[in-house]
Amino acid sequence: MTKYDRISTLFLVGLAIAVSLESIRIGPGSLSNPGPGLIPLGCGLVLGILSLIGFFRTFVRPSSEVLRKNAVKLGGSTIAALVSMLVFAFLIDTLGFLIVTFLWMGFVCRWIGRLGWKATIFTSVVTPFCIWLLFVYFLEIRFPRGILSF
Amino acid sequence: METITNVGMGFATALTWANITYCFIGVLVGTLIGVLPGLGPTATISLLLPVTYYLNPISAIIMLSGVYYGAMYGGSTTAILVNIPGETASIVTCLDGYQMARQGRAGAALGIAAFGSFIAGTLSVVGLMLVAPPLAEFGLRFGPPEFFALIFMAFSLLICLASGDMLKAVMITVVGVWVGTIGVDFISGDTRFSYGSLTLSDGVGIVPVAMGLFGVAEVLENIDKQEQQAKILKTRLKGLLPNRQDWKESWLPILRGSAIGFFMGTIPGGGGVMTTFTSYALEKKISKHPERFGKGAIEGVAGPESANNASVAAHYVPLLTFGIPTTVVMAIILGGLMIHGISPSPTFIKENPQLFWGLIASMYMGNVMLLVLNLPLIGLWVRVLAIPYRILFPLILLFCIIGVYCLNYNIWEVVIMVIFGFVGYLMRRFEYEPAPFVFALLLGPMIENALRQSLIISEGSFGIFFTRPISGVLMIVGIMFFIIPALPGFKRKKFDVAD
Repeated sequence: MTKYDRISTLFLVGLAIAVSLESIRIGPGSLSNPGPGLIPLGCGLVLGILSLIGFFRTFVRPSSEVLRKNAVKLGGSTIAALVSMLVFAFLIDTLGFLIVTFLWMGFVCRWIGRLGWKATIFTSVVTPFCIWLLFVYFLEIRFPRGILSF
Repeated sequence: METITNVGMGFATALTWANITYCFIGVLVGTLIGVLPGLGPTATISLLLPVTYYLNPISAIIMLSGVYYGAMYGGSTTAILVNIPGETASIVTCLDGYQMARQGRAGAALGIAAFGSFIAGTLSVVGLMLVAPPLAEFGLRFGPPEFFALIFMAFSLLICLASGDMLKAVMITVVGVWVGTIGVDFISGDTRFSYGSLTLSDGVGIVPVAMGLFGVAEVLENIDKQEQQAKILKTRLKGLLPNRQDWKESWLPILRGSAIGFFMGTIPGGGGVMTTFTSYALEKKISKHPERFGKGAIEGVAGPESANNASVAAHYVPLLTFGIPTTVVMAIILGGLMIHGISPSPTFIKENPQLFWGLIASMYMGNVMLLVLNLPLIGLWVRVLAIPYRILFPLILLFCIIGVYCLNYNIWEVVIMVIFGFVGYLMRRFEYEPAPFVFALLLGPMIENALRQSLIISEGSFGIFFTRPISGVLMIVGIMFFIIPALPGFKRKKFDVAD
C-alpha cells in the first residue's frame, strides 16, 4: 500500500503549494507586524516540507500492515450514504423536514441497510414523527415546512 | 471554608429539578451509548450538541458531561459480556473481564467495574475541585507568549502520544491549524480562503467537522461490517455485589487506578486507552501472581475501569483553567460552551462560579446515579446489544444531519459535515488520526492570536518565548516532546494486548 501513502503525501504537497501561494496573496506581513497570511504561509511551508519527507520515505520504508489490509475500496453503500445526505440537505427547504426525512429514511433503510419492506416503512414513518415531536414540540426548534403547512 | 461554601453553591445549582433531569438523561444516554459498540462518546456528544443549543449553559454542560462519564461506565458491560469494548478505553477490560464472565463470575466483574468507577469518579471530582481553582489563579499570570507556549506544548504532547505515525500526526495537525485560519481574520478584518462564501467567512465550525470526522465517518466505516452481530455470552448475572475476597484484591488497584487516571487525564492526549493500559500494566507488574492476568484476575478489571473513570473529571482541569481540551470529547464540549458564549480561560472559575461548582456537584450526583442505574439495569443493557446496526446507523446519520442543520439552519454546513465525513473515512483508511486535526482546528485560532500578539510585543523576536520564565519552560518541554521520539534508541512503545 505504499502507493496510497504516495497518493496522500502528494495530495498534501499540492495542498501545501496552494495554501502557500494564496497566503502570499493575502499578505503575510512581517515578523514585527504579522499579517493575516503569516500563519497560513507557515502552515503551507511546514506541510510542504513534511509531506515531501513523507513522500520520499515511502521509497525507503514500507507502509504498515494495517494499511495493507485496509485497501481503499469505496463501496456502493458508502457513496450512496454520502450522496443521500447531500440530497437530504438540498431538498429539506423545498420539500420540508417530514417528507424529506421519510424519503431519506426509506432509501437508507431499504437500499443501504437492506431492511425488509415492512421494517423500512415502519422506521421511515415513525422516525420523522418522533424526531418532529422531540425537536419541534419539546425543544421548540424550527424545521422547514416545505410543501406541507406544518 | 471558601471551598465548602462554593460546593454548597454548586449543589444548590445542580439540585434543581431541571439539572437533575438533564444529568439523569446524560448518564442514561451515555451508558446506553457506552454499551453499544461502534458509537463512541465522541460521536454521541456531537450528536447531542443540538439538543443543548436551547438549554442554559449549566444544564448543557451537566448533560454533556453526564454522557461522557456514562459512556465510560457503560463501555465495561460489553467488554465483560461480549468481549467487545463499548468504547476504546474499555479494550483492556476485555482481557480479564471476559475471562471472569466465562468462569461464571460476570456479576463480580460488572460489580467491581461499577463500584471501582464510582469510587474513582468521586475521588477524581475531589481532585478537580482542589486542583482547578489554584491552577486558574496561576494561569492569571499568563500573557500571549505563555499561552502560545502552553498550546505549543499541548500540541507536541498530543503528537508525541498519537498512536500512529508521528509524521502523519504532525502533518494532519498543520492542516488543522490551516483550516482553523479559514474565515475572517479578527486582527485585520480580512477574509481568508473563503472565496466569497458566507459560510466559510464565518470559519469552519467545530460541530460539522467533529460530526463528520467522528459520527459520519464511523458509520461509513461500519456500514460494510453491519452483518457482524455481537454474540452475547449466555451467563447468569448473579452476585453483582463483590464479596470480601474481591474487595481485598481490588481496593488497592482501584486507588492506584484513580491516581493514574487523574494524573494522566490532565495531560493532553493522555486519557482513554493510554490510562487503562498503564493501570493494567502496573497492576500486572506489581502483582504477586502476574500469571493470573488475562485469565480472569479481578485486579485487571478494577484498576483499568477506575483509571478510565478517574480521567474524565481530570480532563476538565486544563479545559476549565486554560481553555485547553485534552481529548476530542473535551474539544467538542469546549465547542458547545463556545456556542453558549463561554470561553474557558484562567478567569473562567471566577467569572462563572455557578457553572464550575454546579458541574462539580453534578458529577458527584451523576456518579451516584450511575451506580444506581448500572447495577440493576445490566440485564437491559445486555438486551440493547441485540439491536442490529442496520437499524441504528440511519438514525445516527439523521441525527448528524439534523444536529448540524439546526446549528444555523444552513445547508452548506451539512455539506461541510458530509465532506469531512468522507475525509474522515479516507483518513482512517490512510492511517491519519482525526483527533489531532480537531484539536488543531479548535486551538489554531488561539495559537495564531497568541503568536501574532507576542510577535507584535517583541517586535518580531521569537526570543520572547524563551526569555520569559513560564513560556521558556513550556517551550523547552514542548520541544523535548518532539525531539525525544526522534532520538536514536528511542522506540515508541505501542501497547500490545498480548503482552
